[in-house]
Amino acid sequence: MGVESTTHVADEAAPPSPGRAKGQASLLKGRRRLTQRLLALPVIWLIIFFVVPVALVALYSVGLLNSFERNPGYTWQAWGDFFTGGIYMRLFWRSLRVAIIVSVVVVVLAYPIAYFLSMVAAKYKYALLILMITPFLTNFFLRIMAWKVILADQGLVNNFLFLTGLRAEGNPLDIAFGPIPVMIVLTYVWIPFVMLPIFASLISVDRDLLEAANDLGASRWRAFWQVTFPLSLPGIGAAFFFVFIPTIGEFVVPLFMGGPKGYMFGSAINDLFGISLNWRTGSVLSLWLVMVVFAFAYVFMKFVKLDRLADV
Amino acid sequence: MTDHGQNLDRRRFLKLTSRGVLAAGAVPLLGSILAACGDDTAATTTTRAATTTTAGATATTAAAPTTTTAAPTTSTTTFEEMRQAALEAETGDLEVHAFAGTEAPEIWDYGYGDAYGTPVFTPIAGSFASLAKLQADPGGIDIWQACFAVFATAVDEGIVQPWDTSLIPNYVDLNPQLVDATQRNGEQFAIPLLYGLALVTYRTDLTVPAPNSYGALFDEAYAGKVSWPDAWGAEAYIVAGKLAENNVVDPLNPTDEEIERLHSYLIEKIRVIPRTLYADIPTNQTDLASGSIWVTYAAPTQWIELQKQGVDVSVVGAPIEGLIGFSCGYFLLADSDQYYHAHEWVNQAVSKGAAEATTNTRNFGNSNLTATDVDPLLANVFGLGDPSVLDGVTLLDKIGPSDVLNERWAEVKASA
Repeated sequence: MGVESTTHVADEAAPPSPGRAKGQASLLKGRRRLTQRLLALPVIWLIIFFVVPVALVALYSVGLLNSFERNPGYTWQAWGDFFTGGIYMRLFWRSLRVAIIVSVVVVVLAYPIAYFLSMVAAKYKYALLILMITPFLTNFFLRIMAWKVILADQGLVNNFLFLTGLRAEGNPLDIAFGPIPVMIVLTYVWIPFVMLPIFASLISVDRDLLEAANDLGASRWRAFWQVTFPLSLPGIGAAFFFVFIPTIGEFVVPLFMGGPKGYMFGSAINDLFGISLNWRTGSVLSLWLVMVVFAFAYVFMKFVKLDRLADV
Repeated sequence: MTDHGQNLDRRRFLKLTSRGVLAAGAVPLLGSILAACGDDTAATTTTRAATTTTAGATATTAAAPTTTTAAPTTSTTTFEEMRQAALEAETGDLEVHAFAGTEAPEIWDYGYGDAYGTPVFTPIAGSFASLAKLQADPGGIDIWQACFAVFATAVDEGIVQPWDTSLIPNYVDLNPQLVDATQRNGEQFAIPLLYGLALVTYRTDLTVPAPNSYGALFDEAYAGKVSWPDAWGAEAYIVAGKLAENNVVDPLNPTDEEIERLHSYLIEKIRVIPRTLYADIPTNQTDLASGSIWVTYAAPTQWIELQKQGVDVSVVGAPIEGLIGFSCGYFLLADSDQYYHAHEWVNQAVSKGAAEATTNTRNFGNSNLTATDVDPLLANVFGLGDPSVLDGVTLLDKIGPSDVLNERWAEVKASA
């Protein structure tokens, strides 16, 4: 490290010869061109599969594109109704609350597991990691149905409560439908997924730093809070977003577990495009969701340098 | 009008030529046929009454065609040749977008598979969801199975085209009530396959006294023990509108003021009455069987299936408001490039065998009045063979402002 640094400084100190400078400029230019070419593919991908669809949805939202519209034509009415009508905005706040709760709970639960795998499990860490993500190999619908069995009035949880006398038979705990079971299932579904970025950030923490903290007299607890945790923040941020973005637009789990009270913003978008054939309002809700997610992403990137995850 | 030769009018001629028959060397034949047709552009059968005559004659046409056109003895043969030529000219696969289970051979294959191969089946998630999909992109779909609550929108949006009933010999056997309900301006835009009743289904051991009205679905006595369909949509307003307490003059065509009242009623009720909004039948059956819910709104299939399982369930068979029913069947997509194959297929899909299989395996009434050789319980429940079986039943196919009501339903759910 020291030798490399010295050499680098010496290189910078020496006046570059004209030929060498020209070579460096050419190299830089070549690198820039290569970067541009490498970036072209994702940019094109983004334009085709994100910018264009979002633009089309925007056109639907103001009536410049129409489908099943009873009153076709350019109008901002659907936007006005969304902001002033109250129904969908209230639903949005409810869904936002659910998404934040689920995201925080998932991160809190996934972190110790990821920590154990990366810091404690040693040579078994990858085997255990694969075991942890095994549920991903099963059908999503099956996993939801399994939870229906567990949480039903006559399900596993209630039967346990009946057996232990914690609940009188015939008076089951009402956890089969509603926002609570939706949150439980979503938490279960996301934990293995969310563990990955946290694991990736933890495994890249330089162990020398922890040793240095130890040498300087820090307890393990203090070393964790002052070294490990701050260094894993990019992974936590990424994990939060991995959960938050799909959860706020979630409609499958609410469909099976939500009941009327577990209806979410994503469910409304699904219904507006599907059953109600009201694509204009559906587009407004979809765009609003995109804007909110962008706003959240911006705020998080301000406070947590997610780009550091690239170093992992 | 009584033979197939006359049915090949100018419109059909243009359709045939556009499908490449000319390229197959059929120009001379078509020329003579067109001459024989003259200006009889109304010859394509459009109304049920007219078609009954035509199709009724179909069986005898080939043997003894009686016609007043210029070349009566050759026109029928020519028509059949032309039909075959048209079938051969159609390349690619027939695609059928239908409810899961339709792909079972007993539901459609009475010779079609051997003659033309198995169509490509894609499952629909629901009638309105598939309508949205087809509006966005029909893809290569030729035949679409849906319930007829979508009928008006599908026709208005130009997603579907009329069937040529003269190419569907089994059409004459279909229930006239269902046939009439799927016509627009005398053209047959859908071929009815089945009908069902929307019934209040309840646990007899838990729901005491037994309900006798659709009002049970909104009754606070059962709050937290009721399930409504997730995709209830406009239907919810019709059911609520039939209740005396809501005082709606014509539940199928509520006024704006009545819609507002029903809307408020549904919002008030969704907040306290239903425990679930069910999206799939098996899940709802499980909930009913386990006692998680006591009362639901469902087609008879749930009641029949649960009875077979020994669950104590029954239905309100004679609600004080009168029964509500629905029907479903097949649409021909406007952009279909398998026009003749689609007719061949749908003819078999509404045949006696297919209709009986539909009742026996899927627990629905079928539209074919000759298809009565089914489980006696089902035959009795659905009154099979009786052309007036749907008298007095409020058919959901005839909802007036279904688009408005479907829009409002999303607001009801969002207000829960």
